[in-house]
Amino acid sequence: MLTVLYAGVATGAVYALVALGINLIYLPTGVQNFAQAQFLALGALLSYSALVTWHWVWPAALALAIVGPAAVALLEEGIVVRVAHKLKADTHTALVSTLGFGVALEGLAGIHWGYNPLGVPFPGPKGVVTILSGRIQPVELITILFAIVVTITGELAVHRTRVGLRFAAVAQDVDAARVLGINAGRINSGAFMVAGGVAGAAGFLLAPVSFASADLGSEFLLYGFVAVAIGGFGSQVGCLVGGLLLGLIEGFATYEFGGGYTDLIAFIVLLVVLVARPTGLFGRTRLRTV
Amino acid sequence: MVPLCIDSYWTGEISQVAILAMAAMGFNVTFGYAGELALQQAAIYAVGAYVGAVLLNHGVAVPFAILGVLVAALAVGLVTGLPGLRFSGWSLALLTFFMVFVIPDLVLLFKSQTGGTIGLSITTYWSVGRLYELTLGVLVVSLFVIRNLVTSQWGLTLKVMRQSPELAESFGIKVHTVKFAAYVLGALPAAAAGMLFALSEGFINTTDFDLNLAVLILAAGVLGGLGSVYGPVLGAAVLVLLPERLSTFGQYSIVVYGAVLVLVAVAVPGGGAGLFRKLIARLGLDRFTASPPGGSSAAEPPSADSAVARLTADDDVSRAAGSLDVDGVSVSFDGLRALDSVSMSAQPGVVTGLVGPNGSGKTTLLNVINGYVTPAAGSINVNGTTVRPGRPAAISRSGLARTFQTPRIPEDMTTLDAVRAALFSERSVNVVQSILRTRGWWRATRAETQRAVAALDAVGLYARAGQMASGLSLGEKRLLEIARALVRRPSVVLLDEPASGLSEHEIEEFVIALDELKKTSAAIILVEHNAALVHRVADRVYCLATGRVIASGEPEAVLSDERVIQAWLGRAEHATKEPAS
Repeated sequence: MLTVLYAGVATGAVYALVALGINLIYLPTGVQNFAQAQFLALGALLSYSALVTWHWVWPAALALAIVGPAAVALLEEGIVVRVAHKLKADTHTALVSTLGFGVALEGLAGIHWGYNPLGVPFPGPKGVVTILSGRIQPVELITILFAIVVTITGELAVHRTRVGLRFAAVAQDVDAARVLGINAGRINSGAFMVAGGVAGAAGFLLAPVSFASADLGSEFLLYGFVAVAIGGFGSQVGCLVGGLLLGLIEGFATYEFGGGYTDLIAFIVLLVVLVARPTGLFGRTRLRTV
Repeated sequence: MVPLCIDSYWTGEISQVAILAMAAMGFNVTFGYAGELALQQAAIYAVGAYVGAVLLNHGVAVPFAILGVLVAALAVGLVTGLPGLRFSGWSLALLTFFMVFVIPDLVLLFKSQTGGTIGLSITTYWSVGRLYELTLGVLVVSLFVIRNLVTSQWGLTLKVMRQSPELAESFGIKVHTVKFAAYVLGALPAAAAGMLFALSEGFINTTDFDLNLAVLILAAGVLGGLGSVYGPVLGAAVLVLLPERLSTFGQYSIVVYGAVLVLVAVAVPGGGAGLFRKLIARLGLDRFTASPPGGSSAAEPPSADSAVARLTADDDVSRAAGSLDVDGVSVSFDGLRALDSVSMSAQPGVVTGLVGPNGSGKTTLLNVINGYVTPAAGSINVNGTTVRPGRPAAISRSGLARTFQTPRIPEDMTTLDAVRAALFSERSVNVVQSILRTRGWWRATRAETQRAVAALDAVGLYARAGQMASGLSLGEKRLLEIARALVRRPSVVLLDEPASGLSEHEIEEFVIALDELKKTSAAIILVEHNAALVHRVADRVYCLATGRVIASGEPEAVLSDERVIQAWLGRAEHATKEPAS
């Protein structure tokens, strides 16, 4: 039973990491990035190439898994956010084009790496650790710790630093922020890059557990968004709690009903959350203005 | 019987185009017209395919199976439309996109009927030729229905709704109901397409209805041009026919669909149809297509009767002179008391001025009367009947019209249509009549156009009827908002700072329009900062300060009241600044 719990938390940590990236991009840009989970897949695939194909040492592989997705995220920002802003496209249009970007990315990854699951070794300690009669892999423990660290760092950065203030300023009014001397373009690029890098690192950690494959992303995309929906847009802690809750629900549901209905269950969770608390557990409501 | 006698290769190709076009049509209705990002078309397509296949396998004849699928689509449209009533934006996109992933689970759940992961063979066989005729027939019917709907009042309503739900509500449009209708309508062609797909393939499996299909449908809609009736056909044709010409397309298909979504959505918002329209305009051919819907009546010269007389003459709705009573209304925002038991009344055919400093609660009061804000206490009476607070559409339908501080003028609509759009709630023709273009529909549309012309005439905008409303000057936009109120012959009209930003000359035109409005015997509430104007046109004035009525009565008396001068006209507020001791 504890093993189920641990596995649920470990999966939830990955959902939380995707959610954190979505949230980080949303904060300054207001864009819901439907390509976010593809960065996770890219991180996993790059670590496969680095570790298995090219036999790199693991720090170099990790660096590639972070830098690669970060660079692609920067490209996405350049295409989607800048052009959309220049052409005054609405947020719905931006959403559709992030979805397109993610799909194209997945297709390219499929051409290069194929859709077969690729095993990636974990360079750290192997085997299983037993904690209070429940078993967990070391890499999963590291993933959970990583998600917590990203959450705390994000929370501090948004609420305690000038960067957080700039995020808020750019989110409210790009032009006003520019007048105040804030480089809005750099804020947006930075958000995309950090979100891409975090997702890439998460992919590095995920690959040894669930294999790397080109369609890894589409599984995690919706779950990442469900995690944000549970937690509430704008809140880092919400993303972590939402991800972990979703992972646990999925873990125990699979334990009870088998693995065939996880999407259905996640969908029902999403529906219940949106109906009962549309702003999520930690989100804030906005007043209507006329 | 075959409308286009061509070889079987082309009939197959064209059937595929038609099927994809129908699947994309629903997306076009919900996103292109209603502006809501509902991505469930692939799921509905799958439902159509499975329900159709199961019905056919039970020996139901094809025409009845199509009917069955349409009924199922209605049911699915109702269920999948439900989230759309509550959610919009990303949460709706996520929920509806998720439906695509839930389909395999559902198919597995009903394994005995659907074949689960093994797939399902369809025992009914139709030849390619017959299938082609059927598919084209269904496509033509779908195009006919959607074309007639979006070129009717419903199309105007969807446009208004997409751009400003508040504006739609101020016309008395029940936004949720219309959106819901759009979701349900969008489900029909997609489901029919799914069934035709099943029939043409002879075998279906859950892998047919995956992310790729969902993205292909979106790409066809976006590429063809959202908000255009024939756009989906264009987009589908490109995406079906082009890959066949490129031998290595297979593995790149998903990349291309993605690229289409990224580039076309961002860089060419109108898609192929938009480009086509621009080309026509560039060549100067648009004068043939630009005649306003509703026929040539816009060209009729205004008759000698006064405009308002024409508006009030044809009375299918006879409305008595209106009055408004606000009784003890209080509103708080997060503990801040915005309105503190405010009472006021407005009489028919009279302008009641509402003045006060910024932040005194004027706009909040308008929003309470209009239903955008629900008061904590107090009641609103229109013509002596208490209205239910917080229901803008219902309140508008009981005879209330308003203008906005910043004029809300829909893009991509002629001035005449902008006025006609305001008439939606009062018309008696329903969806079916609009689609079939019955005689009742023509009569109603003609009457509407006449009224809209009369209203434009009354405010002096007749000459602008055929021009794009968004290109009008600020003064003209404000007059247009008055015409929009006038055309509904309301009992009560709320004017929210109608003269701000206007030149002297424009203010004179506004005063003339206001006089026309007075002739309809509506009770007019005028919120305005221009003291001279209030003094000139108002018959009675209320002054608000910090959420309370501090003075009311004849303009002369109120505007010279010491408290009003202190609070509103800008002398230092001695009362609140106690000298430090």
